[in-house]
Amino acid sequence: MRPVIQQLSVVVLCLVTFSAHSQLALFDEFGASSIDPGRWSAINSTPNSLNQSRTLESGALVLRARSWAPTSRSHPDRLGLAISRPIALRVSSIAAEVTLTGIQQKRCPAPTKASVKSYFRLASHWFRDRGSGAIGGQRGNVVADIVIGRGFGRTLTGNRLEIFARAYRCTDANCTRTQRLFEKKISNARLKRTYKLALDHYPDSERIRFSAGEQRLWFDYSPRDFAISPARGPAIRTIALVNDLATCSTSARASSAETTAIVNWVKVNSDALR
Amino acid sequence: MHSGNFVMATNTLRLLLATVFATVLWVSDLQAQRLAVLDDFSGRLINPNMWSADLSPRTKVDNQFLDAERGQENGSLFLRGRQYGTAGDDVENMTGGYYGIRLNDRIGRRIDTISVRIKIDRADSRYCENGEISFAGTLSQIDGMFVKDRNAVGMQGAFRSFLVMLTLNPTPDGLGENQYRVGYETVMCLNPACSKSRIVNGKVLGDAQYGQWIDVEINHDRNRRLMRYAMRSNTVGAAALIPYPDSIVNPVSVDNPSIAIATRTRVPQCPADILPRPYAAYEISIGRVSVNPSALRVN
Repeated sequence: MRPVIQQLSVVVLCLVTFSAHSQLALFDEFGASSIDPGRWSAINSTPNSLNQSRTLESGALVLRARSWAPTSRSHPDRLGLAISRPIALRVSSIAAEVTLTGIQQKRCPAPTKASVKSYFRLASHWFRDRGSGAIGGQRGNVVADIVIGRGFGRTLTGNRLEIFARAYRCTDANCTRTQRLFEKKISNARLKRTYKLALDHYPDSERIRFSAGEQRLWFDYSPRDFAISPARGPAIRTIALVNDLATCSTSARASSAETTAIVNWVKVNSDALR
Repeated sequence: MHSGNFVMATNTLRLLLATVFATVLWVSDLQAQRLAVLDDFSGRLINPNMWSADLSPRTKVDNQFLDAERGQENGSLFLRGRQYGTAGDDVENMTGGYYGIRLNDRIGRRIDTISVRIKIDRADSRYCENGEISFAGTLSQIDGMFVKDRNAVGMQGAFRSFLVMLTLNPTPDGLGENQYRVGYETVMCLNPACSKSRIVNGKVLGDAQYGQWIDVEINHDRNRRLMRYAMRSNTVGAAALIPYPDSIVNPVSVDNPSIAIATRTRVPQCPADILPRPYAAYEISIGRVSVNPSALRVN
């Protein structure tokens, strides 16, 4: 009988913890005329994007980027925002309401079979893996993101999108090289439909929860599974549009992607705003 | 009466100046006729075969460049941005990164004349109001590295030519409401990588109004060993001819002229308790870019 009571108490405790953890408060509903520098920093890593915009329009954040295949090896284009310090340090839950309103992808001409990924990404560097043995920059950071877009699983056309949950460990200072820890499809999605995406970190139970609407996935990063030794790391919480194109072998700039995302609001755990 | 005479004299002077400007405009028009349109920005997309994104040098204020737009509409390229100053412990002027477009190399190395039709639609800024000497503003610029000596090691001794449209808050003396200043600057590279440089010359060419199209031009005449900076609007025309220095014996084109149309901002870093944050915001339009026709010939 006693073990059952113990188990029940653990379940109740978890429920209390999770419910307290998931109390979200509005961080920004983008109702101002310009992006608030007190809340956000910019992510301006767009070497292959010419037409682009990051603006507030009609009470929403609009992210739009047309990216071209790089002429040489290059990082994916990322256009977005990161939550400013010191608030970012206290964020354990982050959620965003987002609509992808347009994706146009033009692939490399044959014979090149280069991938084109276009997606919106809600991401967080939750902690640093002390056991990775390396220091400097983002190396060792454990990142979780939830992405909505095209280019992950199947080749999609029309209005079809997919939502994926991912977790990985950065293996260099700029996190351009990563080691995959977890990747699962959450659900199918559609262009021009609005989705609530969320990430929650439970350091005590060593779990990360991915949510897309009512769909949930858990990533258990406990040391016995991943040999992770969590330590406090840099607090990077971001929303961004990503166009990730490989170089075409036939000619430069032969493939492209244009993606537009509208973000209505971003919420974080309420105690982060105190 | 004295005042009336002064007005008459001023009007006469204006007439004379108008004649001089008309002559300058005529000469400038002749110059313009010899140019070929490189890009009139008539499509929806910026041409990726002609232009690349102007990559901002990584400065610590880059992540304060928040609202940003680069695109084409109504037959012109537009650049819009808003850069905030950072909050810090000491007060100093901070310069944000570049935001614009850069000409792809294979076209750029044949250019000796570039003319750009540009309009500053809007600019506003806020500086630290804490009693310190401070300012905030935007530099819209056309620049390129056109010439070096044939025997130069790398970029050492090469010239970088800048045409700069400068908006500032507080407004400099002599500048009217809704006006901005147009000037030029020549910078010489002091080492092969051009990581060090010094300003060789620079001067104000004239003032222009927000919302007014102006044409600005950089021209290098290697045979006559002259560089020419010019601006022209429907009210003002001015040019400056600068001889090459003796250090350039055999002028040749540089391999990578790195010609760009871009904006930069100068926003002060204020003490942390200064709110609201200082910023510089702008909207500019580029109507047309023209170059010497020989630059467009396919080899």
